[in-house]
Amino acid sequence: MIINIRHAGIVVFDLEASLKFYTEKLGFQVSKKMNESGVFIDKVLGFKGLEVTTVKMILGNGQMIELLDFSTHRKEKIKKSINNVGLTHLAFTVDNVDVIYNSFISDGIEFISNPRTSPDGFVKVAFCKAPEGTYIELVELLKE
Amino acid sequence: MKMVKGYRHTGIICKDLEKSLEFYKDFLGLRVIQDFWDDSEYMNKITGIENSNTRMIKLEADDGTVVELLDYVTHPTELIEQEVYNVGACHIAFQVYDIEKAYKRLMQKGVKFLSWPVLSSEGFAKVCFCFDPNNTRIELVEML
Repeated sequence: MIINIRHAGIVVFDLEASLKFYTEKLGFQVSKKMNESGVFIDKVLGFKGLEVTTVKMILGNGQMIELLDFSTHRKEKIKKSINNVGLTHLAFTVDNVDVIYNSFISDGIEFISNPRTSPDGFVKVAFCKAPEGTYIELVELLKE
Repeated sequence: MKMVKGYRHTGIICKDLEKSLEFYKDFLGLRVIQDFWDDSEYMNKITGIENSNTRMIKLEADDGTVVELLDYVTHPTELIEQEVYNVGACHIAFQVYDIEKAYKRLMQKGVKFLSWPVLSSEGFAKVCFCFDPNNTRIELVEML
């Protein structure tokens, strides 16, 4: 039934802050920015009179995330811990998690812990928080 | 600076892991590639949750993209009603081979949809949203 994961969608309150994080900190490139309204978006999301700015962002390999900024319907973030039921984190593979950790810490980005090696020795992992609290898992593969 | 090599997976915390497994494996047809328990110090450190025991199931689509289902057995939480415009990670989009077939099959299984498949404004895709058993919105996309 399914070919692939096309993207994960992240609703943002401050679009500029998130754009800065995903482009400057994580290295995504903006591939498409749209102001969406009308029958299609109202139908698929089950609303009337919705206006939303969507920004599709891609990595070098074409993998995608989508930022959504709803101008007509805005709601603050629900405080979610990492074990809250539902969609809680996005994981990205990185070359060197320690380098990123040090650079992000000096930029004031919040982490749950410093990078830790998994018991099987395959990966080194740290979770940080994107603007507005989405958990981002940074994973460095130590063995293929 | 190029930070991120790839989008590794999306993590979904499950209220009822068996129900979620049925949804992602049996209904959507993703393949289980890993199913394990983790109560290690490593897991406690990276998630910041002490004395946890977590079951994790990784499932992949045809192109190798991965969804991770997690059950924090020792630290359960309740379902949160999350509007689509709530700030934070909110939906996962899957590209499907045939959206009409997918829609019919999932409807027969009792999956709740926001709409039937709708042609996008620019005519490039057909799209509909449904809910997984954890109130996470799942977008199905067929590229035309």
